[in-house]
Amino acid sequence: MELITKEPKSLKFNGSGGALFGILIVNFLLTVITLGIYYPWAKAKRLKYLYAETELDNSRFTFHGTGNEMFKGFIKAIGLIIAVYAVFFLCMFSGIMALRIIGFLFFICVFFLLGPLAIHGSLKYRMSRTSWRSIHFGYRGIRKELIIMYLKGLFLTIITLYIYLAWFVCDLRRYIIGNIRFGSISFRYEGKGGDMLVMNLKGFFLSLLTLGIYSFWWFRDMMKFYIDNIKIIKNEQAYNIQFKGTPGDIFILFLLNYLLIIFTLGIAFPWVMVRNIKFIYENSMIDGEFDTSNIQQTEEDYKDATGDDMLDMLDLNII
Amino acid sequence: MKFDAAYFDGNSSHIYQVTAEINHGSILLYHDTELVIWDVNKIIFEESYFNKHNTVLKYGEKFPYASLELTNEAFQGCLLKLNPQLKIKNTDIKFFQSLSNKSIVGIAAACVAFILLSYFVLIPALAELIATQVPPSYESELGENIYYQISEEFEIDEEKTQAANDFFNELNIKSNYPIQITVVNSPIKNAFALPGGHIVVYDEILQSMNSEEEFAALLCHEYSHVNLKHTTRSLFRSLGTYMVISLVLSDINGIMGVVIENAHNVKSLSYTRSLEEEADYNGLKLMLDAGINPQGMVNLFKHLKEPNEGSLEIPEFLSTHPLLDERIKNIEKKYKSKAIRFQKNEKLAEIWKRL
Repeated sequence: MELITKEPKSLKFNGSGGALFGILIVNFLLTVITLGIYYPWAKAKRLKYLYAETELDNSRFTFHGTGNEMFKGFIKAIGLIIAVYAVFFLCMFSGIMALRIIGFLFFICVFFLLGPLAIHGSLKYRMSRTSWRSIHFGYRGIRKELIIMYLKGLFLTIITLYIYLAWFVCDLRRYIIGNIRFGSISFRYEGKGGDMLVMNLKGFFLSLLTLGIYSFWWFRDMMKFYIDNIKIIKNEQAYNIQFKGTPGDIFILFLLNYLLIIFTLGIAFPWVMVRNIKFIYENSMIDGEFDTSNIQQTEEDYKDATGDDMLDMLDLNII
Repeated sequence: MKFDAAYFDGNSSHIYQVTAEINHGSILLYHDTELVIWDVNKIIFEESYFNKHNTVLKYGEKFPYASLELTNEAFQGCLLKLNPQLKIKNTDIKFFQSLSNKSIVGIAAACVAFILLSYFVLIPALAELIATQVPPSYESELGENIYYQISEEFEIDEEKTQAANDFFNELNIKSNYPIQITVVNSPIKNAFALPGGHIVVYDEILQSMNSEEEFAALLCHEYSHVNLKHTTRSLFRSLGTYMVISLVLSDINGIMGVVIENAHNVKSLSYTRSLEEEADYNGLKLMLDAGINPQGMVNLFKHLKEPNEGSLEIPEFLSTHPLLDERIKNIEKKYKSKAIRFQKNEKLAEIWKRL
C-alpha cells in the first residue's frame, strides 16, 4: 500500500558523475570515430540514462526513444537544411536579379520558420517517448498556432527593441507548458510578461550597481519565476511547484562548478551536469497533496524525431 | 520460481504489487485474486539503464503497453530459458559506476591526447594534403572573385601597374599561375597577394623604396605566397581545425569554449607567421636565382620598419609578421652563409625608373 503524505515531494536524481562520464566519453569517442554519424545513438544513450536515474514517488522515468528513430530524424533534418541551402545558393548564383531576391526571401522565411518547427517537432517526439509507470507524456500543441505565435512574438520583439521579449517568452511558455500532458495530468503556466520585465530590469540594474553580487538573487528570481508559475492540474485542481533554492546555494553551486571545470580543463563536465540536475530537482518542491497513484493514460504514440534533431542543430534550448 | 514485481496495466499509474511466476511458455501475474497471463513470445524487453538486474518488460499488441518492473538477479536467466530468442540487452551502468578515479583520469588523458594529436598533427597534415590537390584554375577563380569584390574601392595607377608587370616579367620567374600585379594609390604602406595570381601593391610602399632590388624582393615575397598556395593552405587548415574544435566544444561548456578559442587564435597566428617566413625564404631563393642582390630584401624590411605615422609597434608574440628585425636577421643568416654572385640588372633599373 502506498502512503499518502502531505510532505512536499520532489524529483530525485540517483545518477553519478562517474557513470555519466563513462557514457559521455564512449559517446564522444564513437561520435568522433564515425564522423558524427553515431550522434543520434549517443543522444539516445545519454537521455535514457538521465531519465532512468530520475525518480518520482519511488518510480523511475523511462525514455523510449531509440537511436534508429533519431537517426531517421537526423537524416531528415540534415536533408532539409541541405535542400534549403541548395535552393538558396542556386538562386544566388543564377545571375538573375529576381531569382536572387526570391532566394533571399525564401532563406529568411525558412530561417524564421525553422525555430517553431523544430520546437514543435521536438516536443511532440520527446514528450511521447517519455513515460513514468507506463503513463506517457504528450504534447498537444498545434504546429500552425505555434508558428503564428512565434512569428508575431519575434516581430514585436524586434520592433520594440526587445522590450516585448518578456511577453514573447511568457506566451511561448504558456502555450508549450499548457499543451503538455502527463496522462490525465495537464499543466498551466501563469507567468506574466510585465512581471518578467520588471524582474529582469531590477535584476540587471542591481547586478550592475553591486558589481555582480546581486546576480545570484536575480538568478534565484528567474528560477522562481519559471518554476513557481507552473501549476500541475489534476481533476481541475491546481497544485503548486515551488523553487526553494537561495542565492547563497546558487553562489556555492556556481563557484564549485566553475572551479571544477577550470581545474580539470573541462573533464569534470559530467559531474557539473549531475550537480546542476540535483540542485534543480531537490529545490523544486511539488505540493504534497498531489497524488500520483491514479493518473490515467491519455496520450497517443508519436515516432518522428526530425524536430528533436533539428533543435540540436539550431542549438536552441527549450526546457 | 516466483518473483515479486510491480505491474502497471498501461491505463493508469496505479502500482499493482504482483507475484510473477514463469510457467510453461507464459508469465503468470498474481494480484490478490486476479490473474494476468503474459504469452512469453509477445514480451518486449526494455533496456535497463541503471542496474543490470533491474528488468523492465513491456507487453501488448500496440501502444499503450502494460509493463512489469522487478529487480532480481535470477529473473533474466529464467526468462531466457523460457524464450531463448528474447533479446536481452543491458547497458551495464555498473561498469561505468565502478570506474576507479585512476582509470577515469587515464581515459580522460587518452582522450585529451587523441584530440591534441588530431589538432596539432593529423588534421593539419590532412589539410595540407588536400590543399596541394586543389587545381590552380580553382584558386585563380577564387582569387578573381575576391579581387573583383575589393577592386571597386581601388584607385588604380594604370601606368605604374603596367611598369610593375613588366618588372615582374623581367624577373623570369616560371609560374603555374597567371600573375597580375596592380598598383593602387593609398597612403598605407602595404602589399598583399590573393590566391591564384593577383598581387596588389600600394603606392606608398613603392615611394618608400630606394632601389629596384627592394621591389624585386617584395614581388618575390608576394609571389611566393601565391605559388606556395598559402591562402588555400591556411583556409583548409582553419576549416579542419575548426571541425576538431567544434567537435570538442559540443561537449564542453562555455568557459572552456572561450579558453580554447583564444588558444586557437594564438596558434593560427603562429601558423600565419610560419607562412610569412616561408615566403621570405622562397622569395630570397627566387632573387638569388634571378641574380639580384638579396640586400634588397633586407633594405625593404628596414624601410618597412620606419614608423608609419601613428602606428604602434606590435609585440612579436601577437603580430602576424614576425618582427622585422627578426626577419632581417634570418634572411641575412640565410644568404650570407652562401657564396653568391649577382650583378646590377640594367633592364630592371630601367623599369624601376617608371615606378
